[in-house]
Amino acid sequence: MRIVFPRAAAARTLLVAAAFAATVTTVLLTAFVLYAQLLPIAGVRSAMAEASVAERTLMVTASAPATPEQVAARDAAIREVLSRGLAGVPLLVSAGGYASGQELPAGLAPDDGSAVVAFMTDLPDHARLVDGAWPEPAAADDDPVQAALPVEVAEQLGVSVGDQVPITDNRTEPQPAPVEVVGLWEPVDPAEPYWRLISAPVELGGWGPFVVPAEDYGARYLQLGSLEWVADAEPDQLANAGMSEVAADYRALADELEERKENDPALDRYVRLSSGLEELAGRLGVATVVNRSGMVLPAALLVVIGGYGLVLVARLLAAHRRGENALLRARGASRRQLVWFTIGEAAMVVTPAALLGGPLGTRLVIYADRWAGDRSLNVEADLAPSGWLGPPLGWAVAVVTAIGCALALAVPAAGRGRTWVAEQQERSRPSRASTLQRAGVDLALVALAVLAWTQLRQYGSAVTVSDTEYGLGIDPLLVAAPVVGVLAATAVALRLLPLATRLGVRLTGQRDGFASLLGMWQADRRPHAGPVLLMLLAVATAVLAPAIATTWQQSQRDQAAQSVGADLRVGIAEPTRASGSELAAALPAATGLMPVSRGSVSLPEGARAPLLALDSEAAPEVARFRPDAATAPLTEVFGRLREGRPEFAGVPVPAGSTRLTGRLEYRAPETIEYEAEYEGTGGQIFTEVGEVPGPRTNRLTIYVMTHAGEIHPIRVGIDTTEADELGFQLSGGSARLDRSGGVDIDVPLPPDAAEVVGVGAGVVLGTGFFWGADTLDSDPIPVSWQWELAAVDAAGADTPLELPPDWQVTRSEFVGGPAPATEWDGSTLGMTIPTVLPIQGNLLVAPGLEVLSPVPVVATPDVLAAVGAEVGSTLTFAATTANELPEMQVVGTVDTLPGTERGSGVVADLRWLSIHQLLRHERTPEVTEWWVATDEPASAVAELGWAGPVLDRRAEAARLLSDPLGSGMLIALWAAAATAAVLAAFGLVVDSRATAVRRQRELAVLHTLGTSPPALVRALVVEHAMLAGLGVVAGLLVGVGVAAAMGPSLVLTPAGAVPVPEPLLALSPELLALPTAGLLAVSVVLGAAVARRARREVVAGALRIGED
Amino acid sequence: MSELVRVERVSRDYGSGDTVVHALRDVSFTAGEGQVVAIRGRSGAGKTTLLNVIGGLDKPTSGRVWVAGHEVTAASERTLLQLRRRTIGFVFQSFGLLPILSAAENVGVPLRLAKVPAAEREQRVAMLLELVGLGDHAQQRPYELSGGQQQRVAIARALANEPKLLIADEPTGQLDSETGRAIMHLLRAVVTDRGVTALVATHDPALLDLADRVLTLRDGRLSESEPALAGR
Repeated sequence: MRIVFPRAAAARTLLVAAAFAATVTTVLLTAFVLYAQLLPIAGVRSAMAEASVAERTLMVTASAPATPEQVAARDAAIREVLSRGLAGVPLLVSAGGYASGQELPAGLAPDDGSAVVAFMTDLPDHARLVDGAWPEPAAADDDPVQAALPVEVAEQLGVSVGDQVPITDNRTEPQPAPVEVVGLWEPVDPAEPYWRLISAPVELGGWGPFVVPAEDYGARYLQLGSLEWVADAEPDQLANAGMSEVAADYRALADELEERKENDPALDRYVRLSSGLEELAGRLGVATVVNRSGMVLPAALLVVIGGYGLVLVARLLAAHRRGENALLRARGASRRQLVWFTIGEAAMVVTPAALLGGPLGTRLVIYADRWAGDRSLNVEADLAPSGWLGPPLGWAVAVVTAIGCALALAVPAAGRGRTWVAEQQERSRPSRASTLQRAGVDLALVALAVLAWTQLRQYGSAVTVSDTEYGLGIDPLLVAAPVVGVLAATAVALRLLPLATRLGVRLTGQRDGFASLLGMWQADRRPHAGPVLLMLLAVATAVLAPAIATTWQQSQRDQAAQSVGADLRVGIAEPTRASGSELAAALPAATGLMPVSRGSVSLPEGARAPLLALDSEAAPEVARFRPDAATAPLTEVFGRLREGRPEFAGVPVPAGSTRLTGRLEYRAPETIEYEAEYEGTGGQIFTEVGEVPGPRTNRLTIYVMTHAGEIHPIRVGIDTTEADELGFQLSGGSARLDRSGGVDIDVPLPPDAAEVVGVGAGVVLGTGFFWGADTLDSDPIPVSWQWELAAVDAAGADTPLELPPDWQVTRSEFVGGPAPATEWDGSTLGMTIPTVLPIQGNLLVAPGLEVLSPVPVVATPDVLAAVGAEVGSTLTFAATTANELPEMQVVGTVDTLPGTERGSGVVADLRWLSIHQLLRHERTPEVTEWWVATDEPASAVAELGWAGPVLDRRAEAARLLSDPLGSGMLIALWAAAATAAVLAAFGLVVDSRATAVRRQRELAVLHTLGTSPPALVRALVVEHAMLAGLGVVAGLLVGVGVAAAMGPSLVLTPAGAVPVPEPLLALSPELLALPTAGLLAVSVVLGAAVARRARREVVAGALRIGED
Repeated sequence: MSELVRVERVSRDYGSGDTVVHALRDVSFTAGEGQVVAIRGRSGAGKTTLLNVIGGLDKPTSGRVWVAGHEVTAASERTLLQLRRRTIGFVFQSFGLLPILSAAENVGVPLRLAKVPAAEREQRVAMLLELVGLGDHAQQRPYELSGGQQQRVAIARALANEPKLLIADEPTGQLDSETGRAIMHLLRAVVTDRGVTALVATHDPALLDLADRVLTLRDGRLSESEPALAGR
């Protein structure tokens, strides 16, 4: 120490700088690690708080045993199992039981439903007594059981305190047993887990619960009763305990219960444990791993940059000490002694860092969290118990970081065993390749980076905790891949650096400017890897961090667009009232509306994929496809869905028409005479002459196409088989249509009706089966339908709708006897049934099409792969519903399909599919939702009576972006970028200072030789600009390259799955330019400062040029 | 023999008041063309200060200096730069070579500053390196050369622009006696061959016998003594 202190005092400026750097690095890293530690916990806490009660509580159900004693034993056994808690967090257990089959007196309940008689432990702790008192056990067996009822149920049943409700146990007691209502209550907090008790029978329609004392339940309601236990833990405590531990303990608890079911006589095999907790814990566990891994990345980059900055300080110190060390060695000091001097000094320098890192890092985290405002994770509460000193973790990180800083300071000075001459030679002709390069480590790094990238690409499905955790709470691959990527790209850049500087020398050497050439010489021949590397790493980090952040943000927006499909997706609750024009009126700022019919197609192995039939003209504008969704422009891809779409001219419905009126006539013989001959067993011929009822019509439909392309079937005839008649919708009631007759109809038109595109009729001839008849004779049976239709507007004006005679019977499907002949003359559909044999069938009259070609579809690649199809293929999907699907031809692909869960599916043109389905199957796709392109919020359609749930893309994006885990990571990434810039700036300051010191004599010599001070300044600026420029350019390339290669792979869903659509690299030019320009500016300013100082010192230096 | 350097009543003080140091006190002398003038004196006697003042690197407190007809002490920075580029060559005790440049590039620096065309520059560099006996070491960097070789490169660089005055400050200070003597012989030969005037600061008595004149500085005052082999 006698030497260490004086030595340190002599280099106090540098050592203060080193201490400052070590402290800044340590504080920042400590804050980072603390934040990384707290962020997932806070995120999980938030997720747990938002999880449904069913997800986060444990529910045990069991049948009620025969006696109260057995109930007590079962309760004790269950409570004992639950008492083990989860990950050390105690479970709060509440129990209850209910009896089923309890009939209320007729007429009491609006639906004549049954009562739920139950007991619930601790009810007074969770419910507020509104009237009366809590029930007491019945004093005598004959006394009515006292019960307390939810006030809301009591109002619905019309009972009040003091009423006796005779409840009959219809399985055990033939006579009703009165239950006296003594109290009315309401839950204090209906969201409490407690209210899971007895919720199932009530949700199934039971009235109650009539809560009775447990004693009375045990005495009177055990038979066919059920028991329930709800176990709940503080969500915050569970979150703090760690999701992996919670999931493991849940499994252990479930296993123990299973084991006791086998061995404990108090339990039986009907005891069942259920909870969403394991799944929730698993999901959040993975999210924690992913998040923590994401946080380690910027921290690792900061370690590299901060450490390198310190190494630069150490080198400067070593250069400063070169002469002094040479003297000490000449005077007999051993290398080991010099090393100890250095270590002592380094320990002195990092002591403030070790002492201040914990407390200051803690304060920094708290201030950063406060600064986050609405996105605050309230980490202050987590850190509060540790006081101002900060948590032990902070101290551990600070001490370890400080030791690292000490090593970074000591190793460069201590690690070199070269001679003075060797050092001078190295200064003179520095090797272009570093030791690591000569050893090929950089190439190995590149290979490793490629391997890591390949592995990262394999994260095609959800990351699982078992895959990733390895006891570290992080996914090593998620952490290592980008760091290795940055290092490898940096190594490649350093290999290329000499080529760039050599080119610079060659270019400037061809001109006469000595200053520029001198600057280039310096840049080319000095060992500049240090500052360039620092600049490179800083720029790379400053680019990588925002790139990942913006990629994450963009991915959340893409996921929101993907899941919603458009700006707004308006569900349809009442299909008959849904109106595009009404929707457009509600959303005046909408730039596009698109009807969508959502169905599905079957894929092999039981899989299914959505089938969206939509307005292919509006789709490119309305559906939120990502620009890379298709290789061709979307207008072209969706245009193919309409190519060759048949002209389908219906009968136009005047605008403003609201109702369809008219008359339907049906003609068929009342009876049909027949003669059947049978051959008897002895060869005798029996002739049966008789008559059967004539054919009746069982279905009458008018098909109206809307402007959106949806075909609405207006079923004016309702099959009423029992009455052997057809009932009709009329404006003021109903009418019946027998075999021959007519009926006036008056039915509402669907909103936005555009044209009548077909009329359909069904016929049934159910005559018996004539089994064994050798011959059957009857006259042909004529049947006819006649339509007279008119459209009526709101004012009552009607417009006749003439059905064209050139329509055709486009569909004629019969089962049973031989197919009848049909004809259409413009208003009458005639048919002749050849014989009296039973027959049933449907007829459709519609515009005829010569060819009904396959419906063009666009599909996602995974769907095509599943069915082995490609563009150009024609295929028929198996339908998942009763609807048969038409033949389809694949005309294009899109990578992902918005508005679908996994982004995969099939898209068809709604109008074409509707026409096809009408003509082929008379089953038209129903519009299930409207997609809207608009800036207006979901609330704008709240007034629409027919609208169902409305999904809002922006709201969904905001929800995803506000995910505390994700947004916390963004803050960390931004902090990393800023910190990297600060640390790099510090390193550059140090390097600049070193340059200024080192160059002083050289500049003086050049000045003596006749170089003007401005030329010297110019040379320094050229050198600095060249190196800074190279560092910035290389850093940009490295940052963008690594971000492009690995950034999208680092963005995972909270459950650790690859998002849909797959993330794309999102680069914001401003965000790239800002740190880059900032660092470049810092470097240039520092270069100018060095040059200015050099100019000033050149004159002073010249005074003693004769001396070294 | 015409006069190349005139130093007239030059004084140079450092500091002020009680701490003032009189580095040079009323120094006057002249040096003719083609002369080797040795300036001797103990360390701190003012040798370097005198050379700096003559080379235009320092301003005297009083007095005037002329070099090749230019009054150095009254010249502008621009004139001084031109003087250092074209009229004066410097040789330093520690050689003053730029470590990142090869021997040839070091010699070429003054030529680049004087904007000598590339072809002529390369020719003159080669010639100068041959002159100092380092034709085979053109591409070597300073620390790949011995001390003597480095000083030869420094002399070649000093002669690159064919200066009229060569200022050498302890040119053999970092060399062993034999190498030092060889360097002094080289200087002597260059002066003789090219008619250059050399002002050489040294405190090595063994080297003084190669000088035409020996000036002695003692506490900033100058006196002249005859060299052992003066007049050769």
